[in-house]
Amino acid sequence: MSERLRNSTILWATVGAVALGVFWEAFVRLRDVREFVLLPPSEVVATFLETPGFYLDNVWITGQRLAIGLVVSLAIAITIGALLAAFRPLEQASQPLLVLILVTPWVAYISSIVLWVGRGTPSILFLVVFVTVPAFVYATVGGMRGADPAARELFASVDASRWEVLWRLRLPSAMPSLFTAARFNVGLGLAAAYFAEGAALSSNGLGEAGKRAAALNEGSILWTTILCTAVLGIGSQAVVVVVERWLLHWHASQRRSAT
Amino acid sequence: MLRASHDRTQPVRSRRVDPRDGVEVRQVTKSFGSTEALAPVDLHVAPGEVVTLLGPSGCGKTTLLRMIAGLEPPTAGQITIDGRSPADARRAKRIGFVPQAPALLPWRTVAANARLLRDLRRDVEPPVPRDPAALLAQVGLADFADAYPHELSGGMQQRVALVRAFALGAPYLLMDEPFAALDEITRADMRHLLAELCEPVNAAVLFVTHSIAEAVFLSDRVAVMSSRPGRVVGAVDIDLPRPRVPETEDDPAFFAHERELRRMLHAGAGR
Repeated sequence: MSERLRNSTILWATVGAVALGVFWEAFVRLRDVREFVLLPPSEVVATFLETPGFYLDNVWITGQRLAIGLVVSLAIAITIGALLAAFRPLEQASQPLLVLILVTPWVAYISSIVLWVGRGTPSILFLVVFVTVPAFVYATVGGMRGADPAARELFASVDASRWEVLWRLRLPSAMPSLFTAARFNVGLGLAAAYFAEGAALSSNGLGEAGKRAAALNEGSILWTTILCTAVLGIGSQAVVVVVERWLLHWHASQRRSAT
Repeated sequence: MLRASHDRTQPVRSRRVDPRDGVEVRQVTKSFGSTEALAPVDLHVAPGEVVTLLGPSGCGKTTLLRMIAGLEPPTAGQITIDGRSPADARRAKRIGFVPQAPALLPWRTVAANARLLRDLRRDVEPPVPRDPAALLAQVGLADFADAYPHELSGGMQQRVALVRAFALGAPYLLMDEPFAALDEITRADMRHLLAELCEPVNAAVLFVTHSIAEAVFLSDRVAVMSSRPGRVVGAVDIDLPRPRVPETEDDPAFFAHERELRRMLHAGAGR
């Protein structure tokens, strides 16, 4: 096998995806699985093509909520992270809260959020931001602390301002870890958005569509919604990867190496 | 021919004009906890003079340089740069610092790294700003202006670090073993290059190294240090002609200075 064929990412990812689809289709048909438990891919495609507008609208709505939530979360986390990186006691004092947010199941307190910030979009955005902030904060603090000490002295040698150190040294140093956190948070944020749409009395979104389908025992619609959510997740990951390639082209993680 | 001074009680100084001019180190000490890292040190670097601090690792030469750069406070004593505190000198962009590692910012191109110190605190105009692009060309990196640091070898990265300091145009250049991590062949090239860069500039250079050859080749004067506690045990004026060129290293006087310094280093180590 030629070297080029063996290293083709797209080729092998496609082979894997096709193999998964064939196995899935065969499994459901041969074992005669009920459609509410698992729908074969061919049926998912058929269901989607019956009312594509319905699914695409919901993908758009949930995608927007995810994107806005992540951007707001990132902005908040960078602000908080920069403060925590500058003042170590503050970082230690904030640990209990951050850990609490990370470990508490958000399924449990969604009703309190709805009561507090209101039903629908406000609750959904709040949950997405709330659950994704800790990972972004950790990434910011760790990355900023990890800034090259020799470069920090270099900045000090011309008496660079705090703002210059933050903007020109610490923030770029935090970019690699922020992108790692972003990949993780895309999955987490999407799960939170889907769940909140179903639980926060929202009138639209993939989560709401999925919840309604489940209530009405519509297995085919439920599974098509689930697959649309997965595709949204894959697309969001792809966006993160593309932005990462573009912004972090200088970083070791983005270089092609022989091994 | 040699005008070496072994007198330990004499502070190291030469051709003083105005006592406020240049770097003045008076009875400076440094302790870390109960450990005395640096015994009282006196040192003077006149404007435009190239002085090397030569000594074994752990003799406090880097600590002394960092205190002069204002990156660390002395435990006792006083340091002034043209009569001002190191902190004031930093604020006025009068210090060009070259750290041990090149410390290039990986997200900046070579050209952007070369002008980093100029880009910071733009409100302060350095005394004699120089064109980073011309300096890059002088060190043979014109074709790499748009490259990123990871695409350069260690020697090339250190050349960018030198350009970054020279581009600032500060009257005082403080260099902390900038070639320590390089191989012997590259090191020799680098000291020749540094001499070339220094030649047209009237900047004072304080250079820290443990390489005798580097000290002799670059300096007007070498201050020899010994360890535990760190102290200056003597100074040697290097009267080799300028400009210093690679052939200078074949001069018998060059070897004589090397031998002299080696003997002082051994004497300082108590051997």
